[in-house]
Amino acid sequence: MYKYICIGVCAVYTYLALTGRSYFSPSPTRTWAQKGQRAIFHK
Amino acid sequence: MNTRSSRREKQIRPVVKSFNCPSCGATLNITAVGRTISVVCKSCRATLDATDPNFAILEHNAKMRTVKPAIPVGTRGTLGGKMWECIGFMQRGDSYGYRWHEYLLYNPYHGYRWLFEFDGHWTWFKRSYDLPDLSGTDVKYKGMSYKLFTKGSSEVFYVEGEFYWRVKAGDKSNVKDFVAPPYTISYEKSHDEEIWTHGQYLEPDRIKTAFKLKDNFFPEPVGIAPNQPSPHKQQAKEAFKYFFFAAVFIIGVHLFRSATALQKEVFRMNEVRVFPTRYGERKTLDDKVLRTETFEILKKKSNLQMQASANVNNSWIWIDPLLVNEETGKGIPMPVEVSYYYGYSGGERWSEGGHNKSRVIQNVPPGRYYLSIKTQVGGNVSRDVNYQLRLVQDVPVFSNLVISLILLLIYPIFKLMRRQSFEVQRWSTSDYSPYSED
Repeated sequence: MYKYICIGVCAVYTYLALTGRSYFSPSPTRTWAQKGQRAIFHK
Repeated sequence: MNTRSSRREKQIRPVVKSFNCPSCGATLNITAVGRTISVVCKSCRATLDATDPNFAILEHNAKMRTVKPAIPVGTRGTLGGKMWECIGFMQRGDSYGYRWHEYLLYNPYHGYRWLFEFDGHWTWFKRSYDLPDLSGTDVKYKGMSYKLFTKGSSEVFYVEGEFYWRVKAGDKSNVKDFVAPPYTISYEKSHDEEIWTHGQYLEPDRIKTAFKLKDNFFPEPVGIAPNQPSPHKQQAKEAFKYFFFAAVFIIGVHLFRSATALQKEVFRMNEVRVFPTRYGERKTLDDKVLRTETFEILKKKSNLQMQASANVNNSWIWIDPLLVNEETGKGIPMPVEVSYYYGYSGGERWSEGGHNKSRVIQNVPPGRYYLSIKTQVGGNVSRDVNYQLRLVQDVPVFSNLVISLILLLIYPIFKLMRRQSFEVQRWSTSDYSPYSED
């Protein structure tokens, strides 16, 4: 069982490392910049 | 298994000698003719001298309380590919009230063996003629080190069947048990001899199957036996083996990623001054929005690390940049707080936070960008706060490595704790526990 956990963690780590992603950083929230003001238009 | 020997065993018809008990007249048998020294009458419990032609009575045990053996005397069973007959049974105990049971097994071609049962746990014993190496409290036997588990005196409370020495209820001896699970080695000294026996733990089900015993008289295992092998030992070892391979792989991938990542600085902003609040200390200052010059992010779908540093002292600065794509006007917020506090309390210096902070955002599309930055400061901001920003594209994420290793370590550490707990429980009945605080 633990063997498969190891394989899973290795696979996830490899994916994160090769794509530059991290465990806890979701894709950034997009907002619109407008004349220096931050309009809260989430995409 | 030796096939010829096994066939021979199946064909054997051991010579059994029958006689009448001189005390009560009951018919008794001797299985190990020529080897048995004493026999206990099934009916009147008298101990008889098997070497005497008239079977002289050695001891009258009429008042001896009957104990029902889990393996009745006369039962045959196959263990280790050999057939054994239970020819004797003893209950022994110590002054603390512990009681254990010993079964003498006999095979005319292989001699005697002992089955020892305590709290439903079984050990297979064979007499050892190789003396162990006594060093300190532990012993060494055939290259293995055995730890002292018990030491004390024992007394025979009940006997049944035949034995190759004179035995009767009330016989006393000094015993020492040393363990190296699943093995154990026992030393026993009575008034006329000293013997060493070497034993190995056997699963109770194996005994039950071997002698075809029924559940109702078969003792259920209670607690942990001194020489019971720990199921967690092998599991912990396996877990650490897999952890090792996974860790090597992950560290390898991390090193590869570190070597091949661009780690290119795409933007730098030095010494941006934020003025202290005009409202006094511990008030937040909302500064103006600062727009930087544009810069380019080239690599497709890479991450971007923002490194911020500020000369905060018992204060904080909230830097809130919006990474804006010049073409589309879409922005990605990258807020970060840099705070550093220190002091002296309770006789000790303390500090919290730091002057540098970084964060990574992932999946940033290529294009021309600028930063739209708002800042806030707080805490002890009686003087100016300066901060610097740096954006680095395509960096290896170290926290991924740490988190992966922590995730992988959870199971092996859990197994290690279970193993430790098992050992502590095993040794809880010993006066020589290595886990004792005394």
